Amino acid sequence: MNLSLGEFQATAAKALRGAGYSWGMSAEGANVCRSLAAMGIDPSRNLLRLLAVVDDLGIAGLRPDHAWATTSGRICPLSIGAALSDEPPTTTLTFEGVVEPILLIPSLATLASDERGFDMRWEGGSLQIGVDGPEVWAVPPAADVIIEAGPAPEHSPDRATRIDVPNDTLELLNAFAHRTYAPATEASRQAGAGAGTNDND
Amino acid sequence: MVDLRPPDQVMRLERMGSFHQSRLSFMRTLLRRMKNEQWTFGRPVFDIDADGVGTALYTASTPERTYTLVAFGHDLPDDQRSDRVIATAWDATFTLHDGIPTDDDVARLRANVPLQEAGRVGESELTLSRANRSVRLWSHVVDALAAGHQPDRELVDSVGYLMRTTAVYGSGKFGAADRQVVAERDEFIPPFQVEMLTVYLIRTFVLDLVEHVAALRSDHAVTLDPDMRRSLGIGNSTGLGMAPFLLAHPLLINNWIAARETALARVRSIAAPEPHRVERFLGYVERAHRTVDLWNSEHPLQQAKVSGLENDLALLDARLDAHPVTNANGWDELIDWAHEALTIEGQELLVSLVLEPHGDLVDDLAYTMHADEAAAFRIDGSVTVAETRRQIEDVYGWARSIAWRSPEANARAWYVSEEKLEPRLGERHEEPIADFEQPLQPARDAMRMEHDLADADADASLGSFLRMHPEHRHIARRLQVAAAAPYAEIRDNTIDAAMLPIDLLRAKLSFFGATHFDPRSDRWVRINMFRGAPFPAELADCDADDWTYPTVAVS
Repeated sequence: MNLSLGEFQATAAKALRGAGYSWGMSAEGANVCRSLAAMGIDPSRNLLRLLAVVDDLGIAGLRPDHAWATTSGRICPLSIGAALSDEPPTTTLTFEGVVEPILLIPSLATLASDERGFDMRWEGGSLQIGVDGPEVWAVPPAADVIIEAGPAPEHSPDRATRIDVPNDTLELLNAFAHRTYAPATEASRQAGAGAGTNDND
Repeated sequence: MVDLRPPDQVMRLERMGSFHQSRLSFMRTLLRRMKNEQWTFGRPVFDIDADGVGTALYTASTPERTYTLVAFGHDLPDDQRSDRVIATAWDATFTLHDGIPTDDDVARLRANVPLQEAGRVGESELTLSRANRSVRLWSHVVDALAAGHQPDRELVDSVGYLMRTTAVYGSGKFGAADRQVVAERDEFIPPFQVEMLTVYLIRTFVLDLVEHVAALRSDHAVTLDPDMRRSLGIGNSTGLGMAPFLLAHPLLINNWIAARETALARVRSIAAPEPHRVERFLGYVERAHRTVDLWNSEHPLQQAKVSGLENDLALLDARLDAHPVTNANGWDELIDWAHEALTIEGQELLVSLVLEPHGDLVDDLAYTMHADEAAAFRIDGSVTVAETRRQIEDVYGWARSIAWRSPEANARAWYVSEEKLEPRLGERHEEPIADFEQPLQPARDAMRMEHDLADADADASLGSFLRMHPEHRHIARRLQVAAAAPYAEIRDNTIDAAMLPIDLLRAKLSFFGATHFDPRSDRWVRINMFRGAPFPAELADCDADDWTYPTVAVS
């Protein structure tokens, strides 16, 4: 389905929340997804795979401690991205077992400038990330990732304003989102929204 | 310059629930711009039958672009007419198209717009909306016009509109273009201009439609008397769905309130009020009496507020006789007096009234009311825990005295229901909703963060704290916005047993420019929009900014 970026962001936020992320992290992750969509990349399947891992291992098992270690040996890219966004890295950092490292890229792009970017490396590949992301997108589904300061790649200021999300992926994201909705009861139907008066006047 | 009123005074729900439309309201800004830029309007298609079924197109052209309201009329059985968001059919449905739609566009929209939430629009559409008739007034007006005479003025005044919109979706909803797509166009820089344009054209359509249906019914039908025609606005019925917006957009709300407070401070700072402006102000005060006369509500809360307002206006008249505003610092003294002498409803009406004769001094502020929320998204994690505690003291210090564990202070929970995904407000201790709570209780959440910060090292960074406490991330972000934007945060408990959601609704709707707030319950309100406003064909030849207070009746 062809979505506005706002719709996609809202769907991602609810899906993240439904999977167990805190409200603030859900907003952060949804922002990451929107940024990727604006860069012309559809992150919906990456997000879905991350949520499946979260469902499997529990969000706490993917959250890094102060030494960037996790209890599961796998690490949430959104948690890393948020932490780096909060306090931009000043040294080379290594993260072991990053799930869907592509979801790290927007946080680094936000910290990049026209003069300064980031190198992101893993076994067998690397990317240079600037304010518009990398020039070529080829990121493995999971990897040990090294991040360090690097040169800024060329601008590619083309921005997408829509995203085509495969219907089956959207349905699965909506299934996560559905967990955030309270079951309807007759009491809430009447009282919750506060209407119930005659509107035929 | 005189100081702005402090957030502890302004950002209380009782006061926000007493805000009135002003020169800075979004409807006013839109009409000023249309007039100044000499927008042109057209109605290239009006193909509607005697039952009101068919299609109409209304164009609005700026010097650079054209926008088209695509309107579909329907024959709605009475038993399906509901203001609730759970309705599935309406008397009329609309979208604002970016440009001039082709026949294919209109066919595509005809297959989707009447379905509203169940349909899809695309990036060439900017809004999605629908409206229902006021059955009582609609039938009366059609019957009267078809019979060749004018409708009963008293009935027209008592309702004030022929149709009321029950939703105006913008900004990327149901497939429409995101706000970002149009945000840099000059005409859409102030907030909600797309939605206001939609509603303005809907009102025009509705008035055309009622005369058209009457004309098809009888050969001696007449059109509405122009004065009565202008007195009809477009209604709106709004439920709880709008309330979370005010809480979810703190920076935007700050900019709205800061604009209005800055406007007030500019007027209060005038050392020597000019007689011609005072004269105009007195004219508006007189007309405000009529606004209050026309303000009907069956809700006891609003009735009490309106009767307080009547009394306030009598006090104001006496004050103005005894203490001319033309005295030195007359505006400032008048506002100081009002804060002592009038109800909050009266104080806020007066704020709007003193802005009226000062367009040259305040209207530029309309272009400071938008916000770059994306730029405020990043949390600065380098600030210390100690500094974060200080920010909580500044923004949420008032919340420390609330007994958060008491059933009253923690009575409600905001949640989203499975059905139609409506935002709702429930009783936390009576319904199984607490697990689904939305983050719409910033004061409580700030107190929770403060509690956990007490155990953190004062010199540690906020970033390191949030890594261990991601559950505080949303309130940490909000705190940093509110620490830099004084009017971002509401200084009240939004889950208190006594909280009135209609206060949130009114605050927002007053910035739209709505009038005649008529609560149907503590969480549902009907309003009037563009009541008294010139129609597109009249704009060129009249004052586009002198319509919100009715002219005093000659009788």
